[in-house]
Amino acid sequence: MAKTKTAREELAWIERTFFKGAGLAKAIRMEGDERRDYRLAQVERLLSDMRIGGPLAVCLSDEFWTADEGRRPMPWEDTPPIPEPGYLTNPLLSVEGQQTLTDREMGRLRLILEIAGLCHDLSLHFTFDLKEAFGIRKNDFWVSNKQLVEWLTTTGYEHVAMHTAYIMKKHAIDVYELGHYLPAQDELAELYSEKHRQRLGYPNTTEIPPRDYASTIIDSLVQIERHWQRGRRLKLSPDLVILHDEIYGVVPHQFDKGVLAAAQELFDYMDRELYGLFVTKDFKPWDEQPESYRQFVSEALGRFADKVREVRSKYLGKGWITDGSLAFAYLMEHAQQCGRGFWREEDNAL
Amino acid sequence: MMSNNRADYGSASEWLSALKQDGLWLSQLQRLQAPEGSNISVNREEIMLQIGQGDTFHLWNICQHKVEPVVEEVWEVAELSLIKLKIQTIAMLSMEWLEQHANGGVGVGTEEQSSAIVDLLKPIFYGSEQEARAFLESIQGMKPTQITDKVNQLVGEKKISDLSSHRDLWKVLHDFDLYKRTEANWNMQVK
Repeated sequence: MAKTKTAREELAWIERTFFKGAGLAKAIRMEGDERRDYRLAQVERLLSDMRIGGPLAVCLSDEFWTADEGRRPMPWEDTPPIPEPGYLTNPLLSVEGQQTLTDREMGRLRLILEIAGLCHDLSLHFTFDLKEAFGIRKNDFWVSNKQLVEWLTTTGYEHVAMHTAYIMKKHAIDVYELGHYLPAQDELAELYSEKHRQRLGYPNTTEIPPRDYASTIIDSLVQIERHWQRGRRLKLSPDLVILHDEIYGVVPHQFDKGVLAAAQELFDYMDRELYGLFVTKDFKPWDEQPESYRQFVSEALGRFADKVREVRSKYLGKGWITDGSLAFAYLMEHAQQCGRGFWREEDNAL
Repeated sequence: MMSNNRADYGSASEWLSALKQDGLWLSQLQRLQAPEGSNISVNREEIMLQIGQGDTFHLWNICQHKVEPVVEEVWEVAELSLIKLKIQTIAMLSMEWLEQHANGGVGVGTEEQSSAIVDLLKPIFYGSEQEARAFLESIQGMKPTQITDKVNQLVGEKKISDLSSHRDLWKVLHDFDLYKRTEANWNMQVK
């Protein structure tokens, strides 16, 4: 069933539903930092308003765009489920619809779209323009962006900070997954708040106060970042750092001499015996590879498993990298990646 | 050898089927089936440590210790590495096996005993037998801090009476050896 509202009616409905008493009419004259502050205050309000069971910010975004990354217009009709090319969208997004509005209405719409855009990215957790949104110079969601971290830990817009921190976590998980840095990926994927004695969960449903939620993520990201800085100062190669952490099964706070020695011995073995060993001309899935190849790989990995056990008894002792443990599984996966030729150069630090 | 590349599987259940044929799970199954006290027998606490305290553990509790729906949910979110999910899934399958085949550690013995405990738990759960039974099932195999975490969660969800969450609940669990630590310890953990 097609919706029949005109652009003016739709604008009035959005203002009534999402911006009642928000001073939108006055705010359209604002510029620069003042306008940014107004926008953030509105986004904070919409992110923290959970009366519909989720943030009201998502509903505002839904009026315009789908939940995909970017700005894909939401179908204006209830059906069909998969929109045809040229499907109807919110009249406020079309030139024809906008041409029916007065200048003042257009001014309010422009501001609403700025707020709705940030609501979309923050509540659905997509990266956005940090300069435009927060006035931060570097558009980088990595924890090394000091100005961003400073902003997130001091701002009064706590829900904005919480959702931004979650976006940083998502971004870091993607980077670590791509870099096969599994202890860091898994630590972030299953972050736990010691203070609140509960898992971090999803920002839209968490019971952890927003400031604590954001700081749990930032603390964890900072800890991983500092660990790598220490690794660089010690001139450790990226794979050596990762092997060290895999032996722990988590990202530890420090480099341990004994564990480093164990990691170094595994590193040398992998560099000498495994690197590129499993590379084939074709990229067939494992099950489609000839039996001889599968046996060859299994035997090589079996020898690596023996090497891990040897290193364990030489440097580590009981309780470390036991067979069947997560640490052991991480090392075996690392060996497979190394065999496939994934071995980092010195400047490939994460 | 099992692939750890998510793209090699059409669905979570396809991955779970592959895991059940994998050497790591089969050797764990062998350990589970070994006679108690043998040098390869498994330790419940170690298994619970492998599940951890993150989303997987949370979902495992919500799903009443059923492995497949947990794997499907975690698969959907896709933040965890398949390696960790594999280790956690083997741990969950191990707990499932222990709950079906053994009654050692934290666990109730006979159906009569279980009913007796549920009767004592009912008033603490505002008279709900269903909630009391679900709680009793959910703490099977849990370590003490996980039990108190679960209690805190249920108090927060208003499923347990705040007043009864201390001495009353501790006494039932302690009397039946489901929580072996002291009341003081319990009170330190339960908010």
